[in-house]
Formats: sequence, C-alpha cells, structure tokens
Amino acid sequence: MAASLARLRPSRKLPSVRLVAAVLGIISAIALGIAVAGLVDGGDGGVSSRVVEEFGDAPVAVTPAPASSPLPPPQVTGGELAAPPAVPAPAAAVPVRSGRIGELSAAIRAEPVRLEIAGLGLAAPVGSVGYDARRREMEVPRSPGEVGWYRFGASPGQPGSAVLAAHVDFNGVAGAFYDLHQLEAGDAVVVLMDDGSRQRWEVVARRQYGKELLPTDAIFARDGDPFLALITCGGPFDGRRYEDNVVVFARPEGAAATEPGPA
Amino acid sequence: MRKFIVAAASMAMLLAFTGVASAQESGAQVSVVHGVPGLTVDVYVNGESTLTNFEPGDVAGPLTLPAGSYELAVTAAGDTIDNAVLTATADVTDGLNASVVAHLLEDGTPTLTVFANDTSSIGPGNGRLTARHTAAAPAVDILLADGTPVATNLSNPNEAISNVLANTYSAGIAPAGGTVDDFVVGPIDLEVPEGTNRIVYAIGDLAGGSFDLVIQDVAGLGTAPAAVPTGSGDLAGGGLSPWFVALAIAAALALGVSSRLAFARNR
Repeated sequence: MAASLARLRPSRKLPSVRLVAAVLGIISAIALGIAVAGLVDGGDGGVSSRVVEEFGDAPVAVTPAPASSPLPPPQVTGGELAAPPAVPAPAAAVPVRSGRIGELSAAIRAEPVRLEIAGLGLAAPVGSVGYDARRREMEVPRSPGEVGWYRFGASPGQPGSAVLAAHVDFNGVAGAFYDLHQLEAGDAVVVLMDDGSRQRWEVVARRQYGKELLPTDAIFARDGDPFLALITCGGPFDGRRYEDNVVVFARPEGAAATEPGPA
Repeated sequence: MRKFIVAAASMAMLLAFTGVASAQESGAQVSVVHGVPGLTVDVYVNGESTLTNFEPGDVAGPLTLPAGSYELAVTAAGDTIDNAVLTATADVTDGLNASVVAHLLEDGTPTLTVFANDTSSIGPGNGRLTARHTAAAPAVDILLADGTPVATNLSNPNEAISNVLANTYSAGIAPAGGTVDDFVVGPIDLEVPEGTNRIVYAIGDLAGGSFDLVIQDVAGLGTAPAAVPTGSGDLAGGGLSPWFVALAIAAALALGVSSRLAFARNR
C-alpha cells in the first residue's frame, strides 16, 4: 500500500490529484455513512421493525398489568359520615389462612434440570438463572452448553411461560441452542424435572424478533395456559450483539393438538 | 380480655380509604388481618357475617368490594353485632388494594387500622418488603444480621416500604437506635419473593409474650426482563452482515487514500 501511494505522489499534477482525493473522500463519506447507519439500525432496512413469523401462533400478553401508581396512605378521619349507600355485603366465601410466619410454607415446585430435543441431537443440563440488574437483561448461563431457566417465571407446566434460554454461540463455541432455528411445528421437546418427572412438549410456533420488538410481556407471561419459550439469538451480528432473538414456543404434548397454539 | 372490651367499647371510627383509582380496575381488593392476641372474633360487613371464628394471626381475603362505603364490626366469636368491640366505616374506591388490621396500639389499646398496599409494578429480579408495626411495642429498627438497616425508628401504627433484590434475608428487630446485639426478635430468615409485595406485620404484645410476625403477600406485581443476551456472535448463522463488512472496508480504504493524497498535496 505504501508503495502504491508513493507512485501516486507525483504532485506536479495538482488538479488531478485533488480530483482523485475529492472523489475518494466523497466515496468514503458515503460508505462510512452507510456502515454507521448499519451499526445503528442493523443495516437491514430497519431491523427494529422486524418480526419474522416463521410458523404457528405466538402467545400474546394475556394481562396488560398496568402499573398503577403507589397509593397514598389511607386517611383516618373523624369527620361527618354521609349515609352509607346500600352496598351489598360480599358473599361469605372468603379465603382465610394463618399468616403467622412460623406457618409460612414456601411453595415447593419441581424445577427443570435437563432439556432434550431429539430432533436436534440436543441433551443439555438446565440451570436456574435470574436477572442481571446491571445489564438489565435476563441472566444466561456462562457455559455455552447449558440452558438457563428463568426462575422468576413459571416452572415448566405451571401456568404461564417457562423461559429456557441458551447461547447460540459463545467465544467461538457453538451454544446449546445453536440449531434452535431448525425446529419445526410438531417437533418433540422433553423437559426432565428434579422430581424425576419427564414432561413432553410439542413445538407450535417459531418467531424471529428484532431485539427491540421482543414481546417480553408475552414471553415472560406469569399466567395463562402453560407453554415453553425457548430463546436464543439470531439474525445478523452488528459487531456487538445479534440483532434478533429466535423464540420457539411449545405446548404440552396433546394440548397443542386441541388448541390453535398459545392464544 | 376485660381490658380489650372496655377499651374497644368507646371506639367508633371512620376509616376513609383513599387511593389513586386505576381506570381499568373496578372495585377494591380488601384483606383483613387479625393482630389482637387472645381473642377469636367474627367480622361483619354491612351487618352481614363475613368472617367467623377468625383467629389471631389469620389473614382473610382479598375480598373484591365494589366502590362504596362499608360498615365493619368486630365481635367476640359467637357474640351478636350489638356487642361489637370494634366498629369502623370504610370508604373504598376503585383500584384500591387495602388491608384492614385489627391490632394493638403501642399502649396495648386495640384498634382498627387501614393500610393501602403498594401495588405499583416491581422491576425484574426484585421484590418489595413492607414492614408494618402493629404491635404493643415501642419504636423499633429492623436490621439485617450484618447491621444494614431496613427500617429505622418505625413506630406503631406505621409502615416502611423498600424494594430489594428477591432473596432470603436474615433480619432482626431491635429497639430504635439499637444494634444487632440488641435484637429482641430474630434474626430470622425472611424470604422476599420476586414480583411480590411481602407485607410483614408485627402483632401482639412484645412484653406480654404474645408477639409474633404475620405475613401477607400481594403477588403478581413483577415485570419481565427487557432482553435476553444469548450469543457472542463469533460463530453462529448470521455472523457479521456481509454488506456491513464490505462497506466498512471500503470506507477505511477510501478514507486512508484520500487523506494521504490530501496530505501529499500540501507538502
């Protein structure tokens, strides 16, 4: 490169050199602009609006769960009392339990310990993960071969979504969900629980979402019919992260046949 | 017992529940907590028997009540409403989540207190701890076993609220201004579940030996993580988008050449 530049250096022909410089400068500016734009929005015609509905019905958030503002403390007043309206008393069946701390029983639930997807030749350990408050993301196991179960959501089979996430790749190693995007409707997914039970699930839908469009309220739903959300990364890599999430939804085997999929 | 009835007979209160009504929620969620030791009671709402044989330490509800005004009456179990030991009128608004607590004041006088429960959403990975001092006891500090304060100078009938990482904490109660060496209760292990407002009531009489802690949970306040980071990008499918790579190289080359040319010209 240095040699070729040296040959360009006969600077007596100033106008043509200046022309070349200007043209190259313009080209570089355009190219840089496009490349930078690509970094910003994914270089794919606006990745932030991308949802690839590959097949099946994905779940939608059942309860919008509006964030009500904190209530002010109630006021106890001694003022006059208006005649109370004729409001009917509530029905008698009110649930009552002892609230004493010594009688508090932590809800014991079975937890997933292993995930098997025969169609992908996948058999991976499942570990419990939480939330990374610093990065504002779901935790994902450090080991690329391990699947993380979001312990703050449902356990597989409980109402709502059991979220299982794993790397597509990590530091040059294929992750447990490297082939997740190959799953098709009807493929079998097996979850082994720590109580020894074996749950059989059936793939009903697959989506590829731009990361900004990930429907987290639906994917992390805490009520409604049970489903699995298997999540990894996909789409182009922008130099820092993948632009998309690939999500595969599964229903309990049998349930999928009688329902159109997660509502 | 005699003291309870004598003290209570003179009490008639208007409890005004006020709250910021959420437009989407119709009616109020109301729970009832029994924190008066040694007395099994019945609870009447608008003259109708609603809870019978309600034991100290019990938590009832939540009841969904249409907005309106309610007459509450507490009687000794099996007694008639005419002999109510505590009465109150409660106005409830749509969207309210409240707890009505029968408990002792610091001097041992029974009373009814209404607390509005904080149902604002909680960030992912967090829970909410609400500590309510409803016991016959002076002001207290609540400390973690390592001395970190959770609430200081909390007096009857007040509450302290904090959002914390969902976890199990070892905590105790010391007289206000005290240290972990002064714990009068605990340390005990207390779990704060994710997405839940765990409300802990101190009830009973600390000096009289009837002190206890009662738990009420308001669940379903959690929120979802915003992202799932599952790749470092050095291997899988998409890889660097080829257009991005080509443009970046072109840009670097063109910039380098044009600046060299410009530099040469100025020599």
